[in-house]
Amino acid sequence: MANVSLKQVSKVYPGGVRAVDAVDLEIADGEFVVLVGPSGCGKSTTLRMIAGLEEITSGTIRIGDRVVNDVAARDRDIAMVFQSYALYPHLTVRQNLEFPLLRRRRHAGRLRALLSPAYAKARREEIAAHRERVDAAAKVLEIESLLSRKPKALSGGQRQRVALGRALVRDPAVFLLDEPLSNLDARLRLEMRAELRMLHRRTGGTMVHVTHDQEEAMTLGDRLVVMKDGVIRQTGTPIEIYERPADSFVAGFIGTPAMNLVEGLVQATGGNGEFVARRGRDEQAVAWRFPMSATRADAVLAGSTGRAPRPTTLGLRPDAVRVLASGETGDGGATGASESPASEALVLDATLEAVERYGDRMDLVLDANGVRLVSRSNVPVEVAEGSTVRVELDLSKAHLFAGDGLGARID
Amino acid sequence: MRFRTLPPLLLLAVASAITLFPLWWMFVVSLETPANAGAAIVGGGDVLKLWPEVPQWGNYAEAIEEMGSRKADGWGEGFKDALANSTVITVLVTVGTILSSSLVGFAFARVRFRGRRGLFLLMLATMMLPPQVTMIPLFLLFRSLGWIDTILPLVVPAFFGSAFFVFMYRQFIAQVPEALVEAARIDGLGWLGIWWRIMLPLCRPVTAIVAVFTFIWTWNDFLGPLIYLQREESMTLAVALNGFRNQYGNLERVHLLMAASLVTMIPCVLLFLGAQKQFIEGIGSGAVKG
Repeated sequence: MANVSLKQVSKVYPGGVRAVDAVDLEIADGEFVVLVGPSGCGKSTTLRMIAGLEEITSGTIRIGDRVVNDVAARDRDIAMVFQSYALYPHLTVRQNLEFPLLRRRRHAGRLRALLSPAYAKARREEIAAHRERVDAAAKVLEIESLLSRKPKALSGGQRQRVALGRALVRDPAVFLLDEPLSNLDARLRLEMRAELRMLHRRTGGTMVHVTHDQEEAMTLGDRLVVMKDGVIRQTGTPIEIYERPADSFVAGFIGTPAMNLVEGLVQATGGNGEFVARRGRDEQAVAWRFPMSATRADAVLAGSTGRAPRPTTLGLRPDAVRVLASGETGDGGATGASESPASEALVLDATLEAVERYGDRMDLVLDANGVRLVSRSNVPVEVAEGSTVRVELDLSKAHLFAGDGLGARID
Repeated sequence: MRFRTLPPLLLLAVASAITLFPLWWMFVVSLETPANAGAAIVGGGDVLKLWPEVPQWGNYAEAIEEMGSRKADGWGEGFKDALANSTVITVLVTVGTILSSSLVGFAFARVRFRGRRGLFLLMLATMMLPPQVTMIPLFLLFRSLGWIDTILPLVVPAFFGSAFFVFMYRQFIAQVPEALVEAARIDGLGWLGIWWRIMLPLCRPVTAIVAVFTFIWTWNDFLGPLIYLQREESMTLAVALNGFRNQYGNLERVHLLMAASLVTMIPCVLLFLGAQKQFIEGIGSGAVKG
């Protein structure tokens, strides 16, 4: 087992495409790290550079104490699980599992074994030891009954287990998993997710997992690395990232349904400040406004010269948007777009555009005067689509992000 | 059901009969007496006899005895020589062609190197050269190497690939998923290991085609052995067959020629039957899933 360290690692493809840009990443021994991001964000390239399948343009990669920049993939002591499983079609499951061990087997093989009894004995022992390792891995993954089959005769889930087994048999310093679950159907994916966690606990191995599925990332990783356009946007535990996203991209990417991101600006009003939500693409049209405390407004306006109004994105998780039952006034207290600086809630009128029912909960898609909001409700809301409802925004849970640049978080 | 399958079956039966008739006719002539066989060829008697009046099975023994030149050493010595020569040359050429063509095809499909495209096109261009053009320069080359009257000019070129088969292997290998190659690299194989342990086994359908074609072409090759092999003992079967004609220059021994030809065909027929399943799979396998 080993830690992995990336220092200022970049990958520029011929033609100038910068797939990975100066990535710094420390992965501790035994940690389960998930690289997550939309397609083309550089997560797979990063993994493949750790594996040695992709040359790095600049920077340093260490596995354990060793700089592996120029070490061949086979000598890095890593195992990789591919999205397409990459099982050798002409070999049985057992032969597939044994394959990574063969290189270490004494190669002169049978002929030399005939001539030298000592050699023959060593070779027999080695073969027996390999057999044992394969059997042990097959047992952990419950594929013992499949050992004599060819990959063609396996289901997707079984192939995935064999691919994991092939990694396990090597007992590598680092496991690299490149979207290993994305070819499985939804149900199997959940099952294999749990299995991966179990495998990580049992082996205590360092694992680097790549996925585009933020839910998979949240549930699997000890730590997430969120990437976009070849750059790491945030690193942290799933809870840290969920609760304090570093920028508006991470905020919108992590969490289902996605966080509501409302564009607008923050301006000073007397002693306090207010957030003015923009309506659609139109800079001037005001959808609604809400007052904010002086401290919060100051934090935002500190970033603009002379306390000029500053473009800001307001982020609200769907569970911070609540549809009020008829007659309920909500904590905002007033009717219409209430403006009580003391309150941390805002009550608005909105049109219910669509309802998605999940049985135990429902997602409501709302249009609050030109601003689209999604609300998650754990209690049934019996309102017809198209009707007007009253919605309460819990602003104590609001996140603020700069409206320019990378959309950095403002506290 | 039956009425639907009957017409195509009949059609196939008729077509097969037409295709197989010359072979059957060879067989019939091979069992004729010299006089009747000659008549069958020049058209004097019953040309289209379906079975000889008295089958002369002894023709086969005689044909084998007459083949080659070493009659004095005992029955069939010349035939044995020719058979051994044909076998050695054909096996070496087939193995050489498979190994070299697959290796080069693998390199063109998977290894990125400078000038890959240009070299590939150049190689394909060599297919456009008719063999007659290169025959004399090649002969001079091999003569200067001192290889005349050895099997080297026939065998060695096979170990340097055959453009068309390289192309076939390249197309097939290009379809093998890249992840398989990457997995093999991580599992500790180098380029040669990947070729030998992953690609060659996966290329079995292509290899079957290459093996069958190369075998048949080499086995039946007349010109090559005729040009490069001069001693009678180093003759191949295809050249030895010609002896039946050259020796007499007429049709007196056509029954023996037919008998010897049929014997010579046997290995090719057996090989084709054996490789048939792989072979047909290979022809129809545009899409290979990894």
